[in-house]
Amino acid sequence: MVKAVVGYAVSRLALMAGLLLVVSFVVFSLTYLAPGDPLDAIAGNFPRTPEVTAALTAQYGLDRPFHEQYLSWLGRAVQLDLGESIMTRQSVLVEITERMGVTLFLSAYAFVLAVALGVPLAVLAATRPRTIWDRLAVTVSVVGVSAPAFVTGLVLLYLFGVRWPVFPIYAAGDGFADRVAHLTLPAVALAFMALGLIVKFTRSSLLTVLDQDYITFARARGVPPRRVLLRYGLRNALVPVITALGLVLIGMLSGSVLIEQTFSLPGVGGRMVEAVTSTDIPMIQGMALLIAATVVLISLLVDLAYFAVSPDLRRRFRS
Amino acid sequence: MIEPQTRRRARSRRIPLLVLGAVVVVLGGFAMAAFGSVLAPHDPYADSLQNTLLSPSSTYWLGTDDAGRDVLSRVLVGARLAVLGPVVVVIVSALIGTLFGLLAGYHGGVVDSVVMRVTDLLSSLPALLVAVVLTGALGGGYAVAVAVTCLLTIAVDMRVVRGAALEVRQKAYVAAAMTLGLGKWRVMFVHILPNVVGLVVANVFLNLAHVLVVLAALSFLGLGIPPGAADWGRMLSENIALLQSQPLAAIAPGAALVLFAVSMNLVGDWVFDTISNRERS
Amino acid sequence: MTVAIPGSGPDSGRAPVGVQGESLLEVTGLRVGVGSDPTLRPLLRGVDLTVARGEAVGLVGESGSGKSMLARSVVQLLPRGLSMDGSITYQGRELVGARGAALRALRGREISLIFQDPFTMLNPTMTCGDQVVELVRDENGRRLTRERRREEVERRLREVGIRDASVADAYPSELSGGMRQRVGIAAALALDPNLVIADEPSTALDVTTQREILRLLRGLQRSRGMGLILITHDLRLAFSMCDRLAVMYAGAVVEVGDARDVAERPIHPYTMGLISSEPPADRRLVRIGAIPGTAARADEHPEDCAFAPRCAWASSRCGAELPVLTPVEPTRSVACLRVDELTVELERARTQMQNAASVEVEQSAAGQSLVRVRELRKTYGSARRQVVALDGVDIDISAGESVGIVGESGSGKSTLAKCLLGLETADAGSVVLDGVDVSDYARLDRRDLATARRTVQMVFQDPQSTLNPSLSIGAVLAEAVRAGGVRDGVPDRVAALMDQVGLPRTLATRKPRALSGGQRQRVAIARALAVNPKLVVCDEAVSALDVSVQAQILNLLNELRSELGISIVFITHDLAVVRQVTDRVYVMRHGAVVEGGPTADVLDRPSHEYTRLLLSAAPSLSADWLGISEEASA
Repeated sequence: MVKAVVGYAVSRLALMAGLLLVVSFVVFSLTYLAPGDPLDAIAGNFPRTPEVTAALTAQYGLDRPFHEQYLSWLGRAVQLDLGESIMTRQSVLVEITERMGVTLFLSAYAFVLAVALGVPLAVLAATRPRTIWDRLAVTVSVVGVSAPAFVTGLVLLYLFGVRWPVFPIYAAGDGFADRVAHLTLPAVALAFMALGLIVKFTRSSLLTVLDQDYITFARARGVPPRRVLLRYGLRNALVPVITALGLVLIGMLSGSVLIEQTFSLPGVGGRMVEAVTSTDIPMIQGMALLIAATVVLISLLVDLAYFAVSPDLRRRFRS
Repeated sequence: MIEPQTRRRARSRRIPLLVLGAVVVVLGGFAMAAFGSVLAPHDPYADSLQNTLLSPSSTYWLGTDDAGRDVLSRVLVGARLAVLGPVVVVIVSALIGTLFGLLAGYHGGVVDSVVMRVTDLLSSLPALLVAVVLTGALGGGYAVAVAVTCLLTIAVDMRVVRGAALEVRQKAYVAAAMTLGLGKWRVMFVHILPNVVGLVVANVFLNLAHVLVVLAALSFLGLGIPPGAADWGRMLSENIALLQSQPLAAIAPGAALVLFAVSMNLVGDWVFDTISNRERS
Repeated sequence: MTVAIPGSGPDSGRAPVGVQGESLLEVTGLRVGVGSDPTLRPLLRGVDLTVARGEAVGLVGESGSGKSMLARSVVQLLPRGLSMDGSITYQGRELVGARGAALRALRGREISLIFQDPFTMLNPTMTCGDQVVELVRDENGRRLTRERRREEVERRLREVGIRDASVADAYPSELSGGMRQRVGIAAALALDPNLVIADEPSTALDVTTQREILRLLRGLQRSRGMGLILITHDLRLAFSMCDRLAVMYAGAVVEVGDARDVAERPIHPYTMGLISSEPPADRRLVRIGAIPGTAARADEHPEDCAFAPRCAWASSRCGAELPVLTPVEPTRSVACLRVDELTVELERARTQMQNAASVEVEQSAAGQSLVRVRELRKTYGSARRQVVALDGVDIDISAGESVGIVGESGSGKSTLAKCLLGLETADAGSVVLDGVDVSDYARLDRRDLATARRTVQMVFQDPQSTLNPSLSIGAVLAEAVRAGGVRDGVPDRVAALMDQVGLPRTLATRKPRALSGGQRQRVAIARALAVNPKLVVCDEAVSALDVSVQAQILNLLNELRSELGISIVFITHDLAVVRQVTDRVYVMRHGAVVEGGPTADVLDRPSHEYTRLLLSAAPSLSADWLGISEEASA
């Protein structure tokens, strides 16, 4: 069993390493694709004397062939040396890690909210079609999928920050309780988008499963309803739910950027927007690699989860 | 085991009221995009220092923003920018995605699996962030954003069409067409395409909603569309600061965006459900 | 995995109960319909049925007759959106309208249900052992200990003939269909119910497995003294499995009686028609006694006899009055308005049926060779897991000849057909079609390819997917006619084709959705004939059809063949069917031909043991087909 998991994970990891390599190449090419010459991309508006130019050219090997530059860049990136931000002249890695706290907290908060509300709502809806629960679930899933996080955020900001000021609306807060208070509105906005996907996928998957012969067969044999719902129903509906959770996690990447912008939070997303608007190439490269790594990590988690819930998949890897 | 006829009869044939409403909203949105500048009661770009931050009134139905511009006119005119990009993206990607999806589904084999790996990869990326990174790094404006979104949408369309075509490819009537010696293109366009086209239509609406949101998000982040433009995403981000004084200036474009996206999703979901119900019976 | 057939051995859960006659289940006036009023769009229109303790009752009918709906009504598990009224009592307890706890006390413990499709009725994420004993508790109502559980699983699996203990830890997807059906039976019987309803329990299985499953079920029913309702479309199977029969048509029971009696002396014209539609396995008829038209739906005839439009003896009264199920003999009830008037005529029809003219097979002198297959090999799958579909097959077909290819699933018979048509390319060996080597269609030049396409055509199995749902019937046929090189007079040719296969010309403008299964197969045949082929390959072309419609199509094929002089390759698992339409037959197993020769010789005097196995497994009208002696129950 353990061997099967390891074999599976290794095969997935190999694929993902390849994927990261492709992404890294594209990311590196950004230096060249950006407007102006590569030196602009690296040095930005830094006052450029001939000495500085020479020093930078030597440091980044701009006089060497493209593939050598790429390899040395890749070598540095692997050691987490992502260069310096043009804007702040600080290490890209340091800046990202400093701002990571808020983003991670926000995303985790929203994810927990979305799962805790979404799955039960979807189960209620699937087991009680044509009731108020079903309608609520359908509404939530359509609006959640359609409404961009920044609009939801804006409405929440207005309602509970301006109209009825229940929650603080500036800064991210210090300490756990304070942070929860500060991040509740942003997290709810982010969770709403996630909720839509989770409810949509879980509801339709469970509806399909509850229509299967094995559900009727279980009921006809006298298996108690609760067990039919959980062990026969939900258990077999998990694969699309996992897919939805993966999509939600990836969606949180974009969502958090929008939400941090809406609520002016000092997270990675806000920094990314700054970097992009000022064409801060090293910072953008760092962000892009971070995004790619996160996407890869999430896909790996999703694949492992598929593996855990599907006996067929497990068997295929045992033999 | 309920017999198929019963299942079909049990389901009502008429279009639900909600979907009809959604169709009206979608058509209204397109009308706004086409005639917004004619309908607008005021010049959406006319600054007026006397009229800043007015509350809704009979002259300014939705009030004015901090430069004294009429919010309603800006929302109406903004529809064009909001809709144009998504429509272009969706049409181009439906055409290209359907063609290549059909080819991949029809031929199968090695080419198919390589192509599918690539589209899998593309469609697993967060579209908005890819667009953000590329528009940011390439320094381009709206055109780059549209091109990037288009590429990612093509991947989605291809996957959908290819999956459906692969399924239809297994049907006996396709085998029968092949044994009659019909040409490859005839089999693809007469025997496969008409039976997957419903899915393409459903996808057009779902994609439209998605691309609408992605492009609006880009301009919300300050990319693609120049500052001050009458664009929903721009209005949202620029008027957040006005939430205290004139909330409608930010909320109105947001509401328009959500209403439009929800309606397109409703229509897309309905088309999708109708097809899958018909197939099941 | 080893499979043993259980007898009434010490493994059985409960002592045999010899007493018959005590009523277990009584269904009276049961109506089921779509929506909240069961009479508006009915599926069942007032059904009466009784089952006694220890009795096996067969519920026979074609698709749409409502037999499965009846089964679900008894356990009160109707699909959503349906409603019922009337009465169903189990040992005096009313089930209609019963709720929650009262029903759960009955389900599994008293009444259990076995489903048709072994591939969908088990939970895919639970091991087989867990599903079998999940509800079993010890004497004190507690969960079983680990060892007890293990023991119990093994005992219960042994009871259904599974000796291999590893099955307990297997997930359903790791088992064959037959094995899964056994596990399903064990799970259904886990709480030792007194009444079992089996809904087409063997239909999804191969013939040989089918007999094993039915034998198992009948054995368990007898040894445990359970009541059994067997739902099936196969009359022969019901005759040999059951004590009593109820025949259903369009949502109502039309005839009830002792199984043997009904088999030998059907009284309702529909039963009569069903029996004569059943192709006999022992001789070849000139014409099989098909019932014209297609089965009526339950909501089509609220005020008159639903069968009248298809009935040879219908009078004006039949179109005006609703027949009710009336006792005509102590053990026999019939719902026919003219039952008294028809005594003599039905008697004559029965004699006619028994003496129906059979074909004297003349050994036709071998004509010109049309198909010559030599040493054909085909393997599917990756290098890791290979499946040999064809393992060196030799086949010869002469012009004008009709040849059967018989085998179970996985025998390679369909792959062979696909290789003939160029839908698959063999790995090795040769296929020569009318003098042209077509072993690899991709290598043919344009002219040879066109010739090959016009030489051989195919009729596919599934009437649902055989026609493009987006083209009208006329368009389908016109396309085929043009593919045959005809440019002028296409509409006339289409009309002629429709006449030829017995389709009204008005259907030309309709889409496939509007057609019944039998009509779609007729269109498929017309499409195959459109290019004037020399050979038509029919791949299980009638196996998805109701028996009355199947007979129509078989008759049509025989007529077309004598009319047009074409060759036919008929691929089927059904020996009785192959007897009706072929001159010669090949028997295939695991990708190889095990026996071949004139159909009558092979079926009457099989030389290979596999052919003998197939023959003995095919359901016949005799009660000892299952190989359980009648005394066992005494």
